Amino acid sequence: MALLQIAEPGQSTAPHEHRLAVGIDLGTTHSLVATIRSAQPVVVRDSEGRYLLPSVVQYRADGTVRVGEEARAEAAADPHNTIASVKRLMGRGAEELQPLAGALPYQVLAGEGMVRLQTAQGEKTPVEVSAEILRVLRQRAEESLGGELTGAVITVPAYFDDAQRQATKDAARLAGINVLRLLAEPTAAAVAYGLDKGAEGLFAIYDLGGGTFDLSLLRLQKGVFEVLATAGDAALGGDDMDRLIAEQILAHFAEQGDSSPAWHRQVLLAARAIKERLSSLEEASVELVLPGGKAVQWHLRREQLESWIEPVIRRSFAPCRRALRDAHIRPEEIDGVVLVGGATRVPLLRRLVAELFGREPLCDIDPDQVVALGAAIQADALVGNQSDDLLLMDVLPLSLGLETMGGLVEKIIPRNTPIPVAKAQEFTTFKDGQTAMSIHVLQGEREKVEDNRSLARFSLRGIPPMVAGAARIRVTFQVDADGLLAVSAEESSTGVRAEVQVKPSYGLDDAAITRMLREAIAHGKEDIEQRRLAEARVEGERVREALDSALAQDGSLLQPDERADIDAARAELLHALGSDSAAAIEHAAGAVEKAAEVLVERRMNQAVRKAMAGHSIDEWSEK
Amino acid sequence: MESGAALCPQCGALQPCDPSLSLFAILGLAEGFVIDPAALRSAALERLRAVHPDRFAQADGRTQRQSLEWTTRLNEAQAVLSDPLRRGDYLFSRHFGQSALGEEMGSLRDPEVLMRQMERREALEEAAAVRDQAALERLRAEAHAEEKQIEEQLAASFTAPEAGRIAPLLQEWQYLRKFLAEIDQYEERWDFA
Repeated sequence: MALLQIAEPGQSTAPHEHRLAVGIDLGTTHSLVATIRSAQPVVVRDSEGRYLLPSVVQYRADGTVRVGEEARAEAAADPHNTIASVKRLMGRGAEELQPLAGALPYQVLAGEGMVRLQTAQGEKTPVEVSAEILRVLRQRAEESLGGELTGAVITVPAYFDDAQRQATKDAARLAGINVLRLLAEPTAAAVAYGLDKGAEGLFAIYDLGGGTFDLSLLRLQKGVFEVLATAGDAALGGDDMDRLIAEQILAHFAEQGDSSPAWHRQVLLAARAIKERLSSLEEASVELVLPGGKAVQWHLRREQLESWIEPVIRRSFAPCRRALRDAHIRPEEIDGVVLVGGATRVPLLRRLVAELFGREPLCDIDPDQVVALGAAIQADALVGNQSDDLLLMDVLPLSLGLETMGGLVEKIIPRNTPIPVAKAQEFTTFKDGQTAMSIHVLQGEREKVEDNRSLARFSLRGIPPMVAGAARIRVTFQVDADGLLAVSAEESSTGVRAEVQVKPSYGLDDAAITRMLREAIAHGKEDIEQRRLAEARVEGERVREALDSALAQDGSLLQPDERADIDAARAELLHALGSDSAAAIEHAAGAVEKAAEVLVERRMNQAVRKAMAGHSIDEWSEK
Repeated sequence: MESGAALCPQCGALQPCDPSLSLFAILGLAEGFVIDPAALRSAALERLRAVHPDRFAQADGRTQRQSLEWTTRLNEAQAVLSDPLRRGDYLFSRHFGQSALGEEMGSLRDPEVLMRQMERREALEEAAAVRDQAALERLRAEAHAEEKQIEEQLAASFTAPEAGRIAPLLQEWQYLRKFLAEIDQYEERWDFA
């Protein structure tokens, strides 16, 4: 046995220790978690054998939270407090959701920044709702794998912008998950295909989820997955098909129906059900209970359905052609088209995609599972369980730009640039003695500021005062492997680091996340609160005992007023120990330690004096 | 240590990225306009495998930052060197201290070249006005063919670099690129309309 274990950087130091890592597909309609078992990626099932968790969260008036199947069952009965399709709201502002307004059965609050929802348990952000879903998946994984997770790879639509990615990462943080990487969904699917099916060459991954559409073009070669271009629509998905069908149902029952959210929700569920049935059948029907209580059958043929949903499918083709153009690839050069996402089960979609690319698409891996499976493979590699030479190279999906004069956007990093990427830009002051400036960062392809997504406003402070135009402020925009942007600034002539303050346009700042973390612990995780309380009690008792023994031995070293301070703090601690508040105990114990500092110092001095009595300083220094 | 080596040959630890290394040096390639795309790709992949953030997902913050810097720089090197126009301009700035495409260098002056660009633009506008996809394809193919010619001329010019010969070629190429981007934009506008 070697004395020193030499490990590759980033690799586990103990090769036999298998670290628990998972891939999570946080979807619009459902979510799932996968892991590697006996070198094979597999989905993780709950105690009833189900692996798809409906992405639905119900905030009940009694303070409990339901997630998944149970919440979905309540959707029609309790539409205001049952949040579905929350992924569409991630990193979005209220005004951006205007087009969706009528379609959302729950209450969206107006206001600046990321949208908030009104529920029976107060206001919730999409980040918190998503965290509830992630928490259930984390629990499921830990129960099934029998241990705490080292980390997770969480997938996001390739076309998610910075705010949407950051919101996803924040949700994972709230759920207590260590995010190893945010991975683009089509890239994850390509990994699953590449490793399982031995696919090599140029691939188009066509991913139509519940609420998002992505098209990624990748080159696959011996473990290297290189994204050449990606394009998509962050607000296009199978949900849109459901909605079109639902509109038809609502119109059909216009006279017997009403405008209640419950009726709308029922119709929406029926629309989805009939769409799914018509993927395998030529005709089908669903039962509806009209607001008056009367049950009716609604019948539909596939041809009719196809004529309604064709526009949704056609809308996905413009991004497809854009990606091909950006990558300088002709459709006939593509070696394979992979279908991902439940909505790609629709037969019409398969026909139209085959026409567009001139070849039959592949769907050998379950389109619901493939993203999570690919994410699990990468997660396993990231924690060092595999030595496989897996290399994923992704791109920035949307151009990054800055606001310039006249409300125009100057692009600084164009879309489809491989990430990580950095770009430095020089700015100067336009007034004498100017010490601060503001930079507005946008994401998107359009010319005017208002047509792009506002990501954040950065204010630079601490610029050394100089004459106008003399300061050279070098601002560096760095996009990391998760596709997330960071900004730093430096004044070049003096080397002074300007302070960068970020105000995310649709994100949550650190303080909000910290508050939510505390709330999450306080509400959902009583066991953690219990543990913290128990730990605080043990620590509080230890402080009290130490103080009492110190006072018994050396209380005489204190002045009366010092003694009074310590006694008061001790009384506070005793009082706190009798309560159920960990915070109060921690606070009181801290106060005792602070009050007793003077005693500790005197005792130390006394001990030193005792030890040195009768010795000269020289003797000590020689030793 | 070998120039451009990311990992310490003794301990395998990630080394700080030296910003003074040229984009060629960072990939271990000989500096020059003519480059073998396959060699460029395999050099970049080999280095990316060693330094990519995916290899350091569990590492400390400092190592992760170095990995990010290395990967960013390698991505830049690959992006610049794999595009002959950007590669040519990068080499130009190595020889003559500035980009041939910046404001300092002025713009194209050759009347013959300027005339060609104007005619090309008119043809594009005419084709776009009637949404003539076939004409767009023709214009695109012509521009691509001219790019190839310029690339050959640049390869010859870089054997004995003279700013006065190389700069106009790079500038003409830049024109063609803008023209090609405009074709893309027309198509995109029709697509997304």
